[in-house]
Amino acid sequence: MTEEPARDVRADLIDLAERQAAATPGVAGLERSHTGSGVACVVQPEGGYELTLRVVADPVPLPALAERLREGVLSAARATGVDAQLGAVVVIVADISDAALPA
Amino acid sequence: MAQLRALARLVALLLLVALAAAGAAFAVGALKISHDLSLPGIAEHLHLPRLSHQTGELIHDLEAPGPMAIRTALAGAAAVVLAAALILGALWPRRPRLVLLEDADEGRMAARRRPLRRLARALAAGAEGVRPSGVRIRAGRRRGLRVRVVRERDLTGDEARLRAETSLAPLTAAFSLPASIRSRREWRR
Repeated sequence: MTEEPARDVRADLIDLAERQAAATPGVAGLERSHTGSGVACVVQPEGGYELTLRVVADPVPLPALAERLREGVLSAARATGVDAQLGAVVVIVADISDAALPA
Repeated sequence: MAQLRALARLVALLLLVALAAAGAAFAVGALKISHDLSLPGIAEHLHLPRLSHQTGELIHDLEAPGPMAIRTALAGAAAVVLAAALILGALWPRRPRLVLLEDADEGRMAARRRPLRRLARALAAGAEGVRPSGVRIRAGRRRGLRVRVVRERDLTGDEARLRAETSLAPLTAAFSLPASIRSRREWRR
């Protein structure tokens, strides 16, 4: 009997969140710091994983930006088959892109 | 407060290192490997018998009135003040860094104060006849914006506030963020 290798769901979720952040209009990038890549994935007490994205946003309407990011992450999770493990998606605006905003 | 907190952390780290070194020395001494590496040997190396003699003399000097007693009392008072400041620095609650903007079942949205301040300033600058002079963001239970604007001389305070409010609406209305706007008239020579 062959055993299917265990998938690293956390790694999959972080990976797809990073890709979605890069592809979402209005997101200038993820905050890079010594603590990580800007995406954190932790187990929720009620099951599943909570994804936290710390983004550098362009000066765009923030509610719509968060909605686009959530939708993108959810559809990417569906496509990857890990949507059942995806819990809350937390969007943190860590900074606003300098490109279009006066200092 | 941030400096006190940093100082408290540094002192705590140094004390922990000293405590760890003392613990290691005690543990090695307890093994009694040789006279040098036994508890009496370590006490001799640290000149503890001499120290006991010297502190006895010091305490005797302190009991007598004089400059030494005053200096020691001042040093003691300074140590108490420093300790109180360090305790304050360690225990003082941090200001919440994030302003919660949305809290729904599918997720939350929050922002740091700095980007919100920059957004609010940029939005307020778009209002005609007013210019932002200061923006403060509050997080936690009393979250909200406090915006100060300078208005042109022909505008009334109410007009300036209304224009700034309208300009800030994409931020305040979208996240139900209360905004307090104060205006002052532009000063001209």
